[in-house]
Amino acid sequence: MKSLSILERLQRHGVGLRRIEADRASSGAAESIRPPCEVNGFAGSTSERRPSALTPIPPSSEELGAISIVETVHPIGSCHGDWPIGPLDSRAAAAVSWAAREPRSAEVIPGDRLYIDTETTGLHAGAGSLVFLLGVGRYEARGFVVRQYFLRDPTAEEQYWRRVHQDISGARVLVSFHGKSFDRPRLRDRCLFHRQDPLFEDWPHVDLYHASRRLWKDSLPDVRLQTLERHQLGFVRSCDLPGSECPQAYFQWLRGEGDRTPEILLHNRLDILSLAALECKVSAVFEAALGGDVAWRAAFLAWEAGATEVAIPMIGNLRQSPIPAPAGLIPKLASSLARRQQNQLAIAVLEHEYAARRETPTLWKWARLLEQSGEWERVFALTQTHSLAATPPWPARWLRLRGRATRRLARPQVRV
Amino acid sequence: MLQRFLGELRHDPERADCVVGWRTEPACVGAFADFPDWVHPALREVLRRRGIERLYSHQAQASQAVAEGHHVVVATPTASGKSLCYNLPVLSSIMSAASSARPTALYLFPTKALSQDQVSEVNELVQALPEGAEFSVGAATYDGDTPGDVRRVLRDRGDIIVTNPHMLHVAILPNHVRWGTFFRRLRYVVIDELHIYRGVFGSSVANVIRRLKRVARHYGRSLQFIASSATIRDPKAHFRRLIEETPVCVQESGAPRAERHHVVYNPPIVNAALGVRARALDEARDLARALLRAGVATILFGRSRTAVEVLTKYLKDAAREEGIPESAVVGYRGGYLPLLRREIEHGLRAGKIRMVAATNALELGVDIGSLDAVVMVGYPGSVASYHQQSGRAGRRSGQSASILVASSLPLDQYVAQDPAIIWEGGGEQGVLNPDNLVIATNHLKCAAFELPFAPGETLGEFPSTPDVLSALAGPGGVLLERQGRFHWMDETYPAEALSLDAVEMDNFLVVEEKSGKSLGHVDRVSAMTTIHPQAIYQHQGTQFQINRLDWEGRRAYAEKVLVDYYTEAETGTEVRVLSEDETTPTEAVHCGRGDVHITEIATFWKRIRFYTNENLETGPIDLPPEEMDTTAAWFVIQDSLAAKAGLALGSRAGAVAGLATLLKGVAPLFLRIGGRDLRALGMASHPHWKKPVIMLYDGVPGGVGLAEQVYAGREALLLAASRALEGCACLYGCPSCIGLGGERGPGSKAAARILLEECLNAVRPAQEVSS
Ligand SMILES: [Zn+2]
Repeated sequence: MKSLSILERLQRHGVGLRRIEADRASSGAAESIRPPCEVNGFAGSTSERRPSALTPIPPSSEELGAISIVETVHPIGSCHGDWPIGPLDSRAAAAVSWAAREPRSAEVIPGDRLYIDTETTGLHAGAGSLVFLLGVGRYEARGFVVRQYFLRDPTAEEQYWRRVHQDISGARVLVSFHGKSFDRPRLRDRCLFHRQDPLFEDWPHVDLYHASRRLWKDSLPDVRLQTLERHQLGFVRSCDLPGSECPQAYFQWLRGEGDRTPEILLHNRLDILSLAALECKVSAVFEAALGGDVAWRAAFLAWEAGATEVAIPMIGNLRQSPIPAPAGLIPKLASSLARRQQNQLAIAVLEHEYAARRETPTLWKWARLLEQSGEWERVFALTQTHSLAATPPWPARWLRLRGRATRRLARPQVRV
Repeated sequence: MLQRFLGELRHDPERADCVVGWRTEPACVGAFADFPDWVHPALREVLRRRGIERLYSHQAQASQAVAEGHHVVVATPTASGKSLCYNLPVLSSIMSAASSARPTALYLFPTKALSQDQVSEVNELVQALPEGAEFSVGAATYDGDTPGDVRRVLRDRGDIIVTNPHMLHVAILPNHVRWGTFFRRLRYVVIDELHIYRGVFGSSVANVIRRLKRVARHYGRSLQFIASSATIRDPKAHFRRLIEETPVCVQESGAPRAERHHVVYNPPIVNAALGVRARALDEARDLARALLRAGVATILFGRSRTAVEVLTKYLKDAAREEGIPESAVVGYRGGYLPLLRREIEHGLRAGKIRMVAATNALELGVDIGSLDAVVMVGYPGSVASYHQQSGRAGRRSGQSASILVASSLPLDQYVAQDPAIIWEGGGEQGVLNPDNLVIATNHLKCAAFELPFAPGETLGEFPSTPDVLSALAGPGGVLLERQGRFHWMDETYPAEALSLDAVEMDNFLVVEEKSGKSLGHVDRVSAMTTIHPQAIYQHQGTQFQINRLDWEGRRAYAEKVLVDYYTEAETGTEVRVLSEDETTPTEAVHCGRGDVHITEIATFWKRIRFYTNENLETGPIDLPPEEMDTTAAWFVIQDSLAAKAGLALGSRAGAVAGLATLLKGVAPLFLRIGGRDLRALGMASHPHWKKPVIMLYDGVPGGVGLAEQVYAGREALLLAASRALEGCACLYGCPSCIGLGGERGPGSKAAARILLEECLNAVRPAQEVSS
C-alpha cells in the first residue's frame, strides 16, 4: 500500500492551500460588463473649461530592479471632476487645518505637503501585510507630480523603503484619507520590520477623512472617498479597479497570472488626485459667502480652532439666512461662544436655532443666557411671549425665571 | 476531628470491604539550601523579611540551573513553591543588569485567573523592594481585556509579560514588529502547568513555541525556557517534545510535608451477577456527611458540572439535617470571579465554610487556601490530576486526607484494584504531535505571515516543512517563492481563524431561537450527536431542545423546554484503511498501525429518562456524515484465534467490540487523554482484512500521536485490560469491563478473555525480538 504525498494528504484533510477568494460573487459579471477602457479613461467631469488632471504629461517610469517608480505630472489648474487642483494659499491651508484639527499644518509652503495613499496586501495589521504600492503627490514647479513606488519583488522591500526615505526629504506635512488609522500605522510597521526609522513620524497630518466627516457627515450617505468624489468633486470613476481587488491583482501579477498593474496604478493615482482636489474643496467651504448646513459646520470648526476673524463674520452671515444649522450643533456653538465672551452672538444663534426647530432646551438656554447677560427686559418679554414644554420640570423653571425677571425689573437698577 | 473520622473509617466493619487502599505519607521535615550568590541582595532581603531564610533544595537546584543558562523543568508536587524557581533567577537578572541590557521575560499561563495570580505574586515581591530604578520591575498581564493604551506601554516598557498561549499566537507573534523593544531583550520564557499541553492543544502550542523561537531569532535572541509541571511520566521527554530543547529536570522536592492519608474507596457491589456497584456520587455524599459532622474542612471534586451541582444540593440538604447553616456548603465551578474566590477563601479561613464542591476548575493552581480533606468522586483521569486535587488538602502542620471514591468505569475499577499506580507510578505520558500535518501546516502559514521563510529554513523540527512550503506556493497558493524564500502573499490574517484547542475552527453556534441569544459552541465533530434536530442541549442546568439545525450556516436553533429526559445519539462508523505503516504479524493476531479514513454517521436518537435511564422514544437523524483522515492502531484477529474464541457464535461476537471499549477505557493509565481523544471500534469483519478487528484511532484529524503510542505500548495496554477483566467480579460483562453482558451477549466475557490472552502472547515475543 503506497504512502500518500504531503500534497495529497493536505488535500485530503481539506487544509486551505489556496487563497480564499473573498466574497466577490459579482466580480465575474462586472468583469464582462465593465466597458473596455484605456488607462486614462474617466467619466463624470462636467467641466469643459479646463484640461482634466487625468490627461497628464505622459508618465515616465524608472526601473530600479525590484522597484518601479512611475511619475505623472498634472498641470496646476487642471480639473479633477469639477475641481481644479492647485496648491493652497495660506488662507486655504489654515482653513484645512481647522477642519482637520491639525493647527501645525496651517502655514506651510506648498512643496512641503505630501499627498499619500497606499495599496496593501491585506486590510489587517501584522507582519505579513505588505505595502506594495505607495503613491506620493507633491506640488512642484512643473505641476502636481504623482510618484508611485511599486514593489516588483517582495524580497527587495528593504531597498524599497530606503528609496522612499530618500525621496521624501524636505517635506513635512502629510495629507491622506484614513491615513491616521490605516496608512501611517502600516507604513510604520513596514519600516520597523526593516529596522528603519518610521516614515512621516510626528508630521502634522491632515486626514481628510476626519475633516470630511466633520463637514459632511449629515449631508452625505457615508463618508467614503468615492462618495465624496461623486457628491463633492463631481467625479465618477467609470472603469476603476475597486481597491478591494488590488491585492488579488497584485498576487496574480507576481505569479505571472495576468497583468492588471496599470489598473492598480490608475486606482492609486486617482485616490491621490482626489486628495488634492478634496483639500481644495474643504478649504472652499470656509468662504464666508457660502451658506447651508455645511457652512454652519465650517463656522463651528473655525471658531473651535480659534480663527475668530473668520468664524464671527461667517456666523453673522449664517444667522441671517433661514437655513437651520445641523441638529445639535448650535447648543455646542452657543456654549463655546458664551465661554469666550461672545454672549450676544450666542444669543443670536440660539434665537435662530429656536426659530428653526422650536425645541424647549434651546429656548431655555437662550433665556438663561439672556439672564446671565443681565438682559432682564428681554428675559421678561421672552417669558411673556413664549412658553416651554408643558411637562415637568419646564413649567416650574419658566415660572421661576419670569419671577426673577419681574423682581429685577421692579427694583431700581443697582450699579456695581 | 479528621483523626476521629479516619479512625471510624478504618474500623467501620460495613466499610471494611470498600476501603481497598490506604497509604500514609509520613510527615517530612524538608531539605533546605542557602541562597545562591547570584541572588540580588535586595531580593534576598525581601524574602528574608517574609520568613524565607533558606530555599527548599529543589528551588535552589532549579534556579541555579537557570542561572547557569540551562533550560529547566521543575516537576515537584503541588504547593512546593515552584514559582520561586523561576521568579528568583528572572528577577535577579533583571535587577542586576545595566538598564540598557535589561532582559525581558514572557510567562505563559493557561488561564487568565492563573496569570493574574502570578502577576500579583511578582508585584508583591517587587513592591517590597527598596526605591530605585533597578528595582522598578514592570510585570503585567496581557490578555484580551488589556486596554489599548496599556498594551502600548507594556510593549515598550514591560519587563515581565504574563499572558496565555492564545494571546501569543493571535496577537503578539503576528504583530511582533510592534513588540520589537520587548523581543530585542527577550531572554526567559516561563511555561507553567507544562503537563496540560497535550493532545491538540499541546500540539498547537508546540507550534506556537516554534514560531516564538523563530521570531526571537529574527531579533537576535535565543531563548531560555523554564517550565513547571505536575507529576507526569518523563517530564523531560514531554518538555523536549513541546519545546524542542533538552532541559535539566528537577523532580526531588525539598518542601516539608505534613502527614497525609490516601484512601481509595470502592463502593459496594449491589448486584453481583451484573457487577453493579453503588453509585460513587451517593457514597461520596455519605462520606462527606460524616466529614461535615466531624467538622473537617473538605473539598469534593466532581467530574462534571452536573455532578457538582447535584453534590452541592445533596450537601446543603445534609447540612440542614445536621443543624449546620446551608451557607457552610458552597459550589465552585469554572467561570467564577476572583471576588467570589476571595469570599470562599475567606469563609474557609474563618471557618464559616466547611465544604466546597468543585469541578477541576479548581485543580489548576487557583488558590482557595488549604483544607483538611479532599474527596474525589471518581478517578480524575490521570495521576497528575489526582495529585493536584489531593494536594488541595494539607496545611503546614497536622494531618490531611484524600479519599478517592471509584466509579464503575473500567479505569476507576483498575485503580481500585491496584491503587499503587497512583502513588508509585510515574504518571501517564503526555502525548502530543507537533508534526500533525494539519496543525503544523496551519501554523506554518502563521509563521510565514510573521517572517518569510529563508532558503532551507524549517519550522522548528517539522520535517515536512519544505514539502508543505512548496505545496502552499503552488498555483493560487498563499505563499510566493522568490529565490528560495517563501513570502506570505494573501489578504488574510492566518492566526485569526486558527484555534489552539481544535484542529479547525469549524464550530456550530447554538442560538436560542426566541431571544436570538447565543448559548454556546459545539465543534463540528460533536454536532451530529449533540445538536441534531430533537436533541436536548444542556446548558447551565437548563434543557433546550434543538428545533432546527442549519448545517451550511453552522447554526442550531434551540428552545427552552421542561423535560425529564436527555437524548443520546447512536452512530455508525466505517473505516477505510489508507496505509499500513507498520505490522507485526503472528499466527493468532496481526497488530499494526497506519492511516485510516473514518466516516461517521449519526443514525438515530434516543430519549432517556433521568435517574431511571429508561429509553422513552427513538427517532431518525438525517445529517451529512462526518469524514476525516486520522491515524489508528489495530489488532486483526486471525481465523485460528477467531475459531478458538468462538466469535462465529452470536452470543460471543460482542467480545470484539467489548474488548475495544475496555482497551480504550484503560488507555488513560498510560496516556494523558480526555473524553473523545481516543476512540475505539470493534468490527466482526472488516472489509479490508475480511477478519474481526479491534481498532483504536485518534479522534483528531491527522492524529496527535495517540495511535503511535498505543501501538508502541500495546503490551502494557493489553496487560492492563487483562488485569481489569480478570479483576472484575461480574459474570457476563459489566460497565466496569467489556460492557453489560445483556448487550454484548452472555458468552462475550469468556471470549474476550481468550482474545486478550492470545493477543498478549502474540505481542510479548515480538517485543523481545525488537528490544
Ligand atoms: Zn465486569
